[in-house]
Amino acid sequence: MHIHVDNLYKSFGKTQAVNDLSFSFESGQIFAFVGPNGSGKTTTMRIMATLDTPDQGRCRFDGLNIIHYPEKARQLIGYMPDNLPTHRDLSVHDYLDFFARAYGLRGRRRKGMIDQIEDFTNLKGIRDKMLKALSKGMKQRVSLARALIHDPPLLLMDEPAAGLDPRARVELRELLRALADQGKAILISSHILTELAEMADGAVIIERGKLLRAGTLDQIYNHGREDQEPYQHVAIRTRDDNDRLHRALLEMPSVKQARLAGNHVEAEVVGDEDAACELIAELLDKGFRVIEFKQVQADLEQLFMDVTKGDVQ
Amino acid sequence: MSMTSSLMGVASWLDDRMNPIVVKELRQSIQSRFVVSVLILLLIVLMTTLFLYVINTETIGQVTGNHGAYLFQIFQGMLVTTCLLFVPAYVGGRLAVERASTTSDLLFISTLRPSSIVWGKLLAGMVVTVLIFSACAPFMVVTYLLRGIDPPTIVFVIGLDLLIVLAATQVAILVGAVPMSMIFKTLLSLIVGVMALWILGAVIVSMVWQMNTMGIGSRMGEWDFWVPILSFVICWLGGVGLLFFLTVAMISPPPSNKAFPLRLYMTGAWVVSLGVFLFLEYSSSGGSDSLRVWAVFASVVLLMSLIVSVSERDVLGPRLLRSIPRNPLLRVPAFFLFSGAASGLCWSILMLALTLGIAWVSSAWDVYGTSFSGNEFEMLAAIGVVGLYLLAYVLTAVLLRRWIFRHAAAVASTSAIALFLVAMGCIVPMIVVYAINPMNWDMHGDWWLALNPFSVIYELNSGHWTSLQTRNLFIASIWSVVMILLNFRWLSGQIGSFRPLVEDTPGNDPSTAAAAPPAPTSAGASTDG
Repeated sequence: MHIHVDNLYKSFGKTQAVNDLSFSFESGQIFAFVGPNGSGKTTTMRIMATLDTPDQGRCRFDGLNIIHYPEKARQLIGYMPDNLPTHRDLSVHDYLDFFARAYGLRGRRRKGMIDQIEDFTNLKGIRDKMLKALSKGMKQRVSLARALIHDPPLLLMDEPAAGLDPRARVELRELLRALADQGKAILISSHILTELAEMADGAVIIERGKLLRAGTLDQIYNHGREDQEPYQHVAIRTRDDNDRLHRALLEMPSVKQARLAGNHVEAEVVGDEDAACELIAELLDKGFRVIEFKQVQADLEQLFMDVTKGDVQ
Repeated sequence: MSMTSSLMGVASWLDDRMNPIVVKELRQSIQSRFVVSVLILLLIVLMTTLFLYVINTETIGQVTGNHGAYLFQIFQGMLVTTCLLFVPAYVGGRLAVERASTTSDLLFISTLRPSSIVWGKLLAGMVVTVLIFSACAPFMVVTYLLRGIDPPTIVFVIGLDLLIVLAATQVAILVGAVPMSMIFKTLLSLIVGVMALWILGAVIVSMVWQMNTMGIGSRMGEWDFWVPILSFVICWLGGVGLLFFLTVAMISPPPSNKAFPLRLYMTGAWVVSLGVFLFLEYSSSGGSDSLRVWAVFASVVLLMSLIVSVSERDVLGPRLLRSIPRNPLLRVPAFFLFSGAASGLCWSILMLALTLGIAWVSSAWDVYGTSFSGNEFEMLAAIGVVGLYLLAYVLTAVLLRRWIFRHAAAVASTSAIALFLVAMGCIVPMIVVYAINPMNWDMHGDWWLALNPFSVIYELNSGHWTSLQTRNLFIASIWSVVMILLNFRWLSGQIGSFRPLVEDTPGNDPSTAAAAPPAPTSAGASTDG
């Protein structure tokens, strides 16, 4: 499934919440949706979830214009809002059963799907608990289970990790990766950029409703460097003196930059991954006792800080 | 064994076909301490009342006593008051919370149809009502044993109570679905709640009093007894149906053909009610007011529709254009029934003209010898004048919105502008006349009523068609014609653009073929419902 958001505009009075926003992603990808508070993330997600209509622009799922056909689009969307279930007087199981019925699942298929989702989201043990008795983390799980109950190909998740403890975050990350591996397209907004960077295939960065960057992480990191040679960012740790390693790296023609970073040295190697392999060989030739050599993902957090100004509207 | 499995199969089939909202609401009701507390409290109050009444009444065992009727009225009052306060608030409140944008409840992004949501809420409310009524049934039966009331009266009053609670619940659902903030919604609920309690309370008291004094059991064989009862029930259920479809239209997605089910229902209800009321008129031996009731009831609804319809979209979206029939013969009725300001205006005017015309013709021909007298002709003419005034006001509102408030007012606010103009037309001339000469209003004649659409109705009290009514008819006619001419491009543009979109499929929207250039958002045109 291809998701295309084209030239989306939405204003509330004089506030332009979304301003000419365009981006796209597809099945099997996890896209991070990042921006400062009040940048228009939730508004965009609500439009994509058919809860709001834009003033202008289109949002298409495999060519289906969801603005004009919200009912058809709803079958394709699993939306997990930033707030939690409001049906306080229902048990977890009854809550999921209601939404399964609401999405038209019947008989054994409904029961089977609920069982499967409760298993997947680890809710089996608390299925008879009332929603009002659940912790925030548990409610997030229920919310995710609800979004998955009709097996939608697209998941829209607004701050799903907010308020979760570290274990729950790791579990959520694993769940999302598993869902992406199943072929679902996932758009996830979060403020926890380090976590997003670990699981996202791409990102959409917005500020004041306007798009700043969009694309796969590689495209975003290499934005503005299209005409330059590719490079690899690596971290190296040896049993030897870091200063000596630092100096040695700076003397190598393939190394563009090098800097000391705590107990290791980070370097930018000009060229593709073969260039990185050649660098290891060269270091070993020079007698360095390398104990760690790894590619470093570019830092989404740093990138976010670089491209946004922190303005809100 | 096979019998058991068959029964299980049937149960499973029924379970699958139950409205999900009803299942959810009833599960919540059972779990809700609030519902259980209200029920137990009511039962305790009823039991205490019965106990106190019995031990404090010395003549309780006498054959000639009327204690049953008296106690029944007390119980029925308690039961209806509880249901009127509790059920609508419970059902409407839940919907309001689910509809609130801050909670963005996911009910509205499921694949449930809007009609299923509203029907489920209404049905759930009625199931809770029946549950409360059932719990109170033993107390009602006791009143029969205490004499003074017959079983048909008990059944009729209970049936009436159910109708009243049904209407109140539907009103609460409508208020819960209104797209406004929770603060305004709460305020609106309070206003509507007080008004509903006042009106419904008056209906209950008068009907129950009439039923008790008439002695229902002895009159059930008379057709004249059933005519007013059936007229009332039909009007009541028709009104509830109207509110139901209005709520459905309110929660339908903006690009959908929101007005279509509502107008289809209203047209159908108009035809059916006309048939039923003609039948009642004909079958009533001593003559009845059925047709007059129908004409007034239908006119009021159509006049309201006239005002509301100008707030509908005036630019049809691709989704709606796609659903326009290609057959020209079907396209004409479709124009009247589809969403759109021009469609709504034309439909309201047409239906109002038909209503007044049919009432007029049936009266003029005196088909059944029981219809309207001369005064009723004037009443029909007065309704027509009100219609002309309101048409002039709504078209003036459209003109103001298009010319002056182009960027400041949305299409949806046109009805509000029209109502504001009506209020100004009634109040401002009066204030001006009072300011000029507070001691002698007559010196200005009655020109201060020239913009008041309802002055022709007041004049009906005079018993004849007055010069004021003639003058106001003239003013309303001229004003309407001028406004139609000034809005002619707006009206004809909508009529002309009512053509099916043929060159695309739902999956390949023509509006998606090229990106629309960013343009300043104008409130003056809307493709929203």
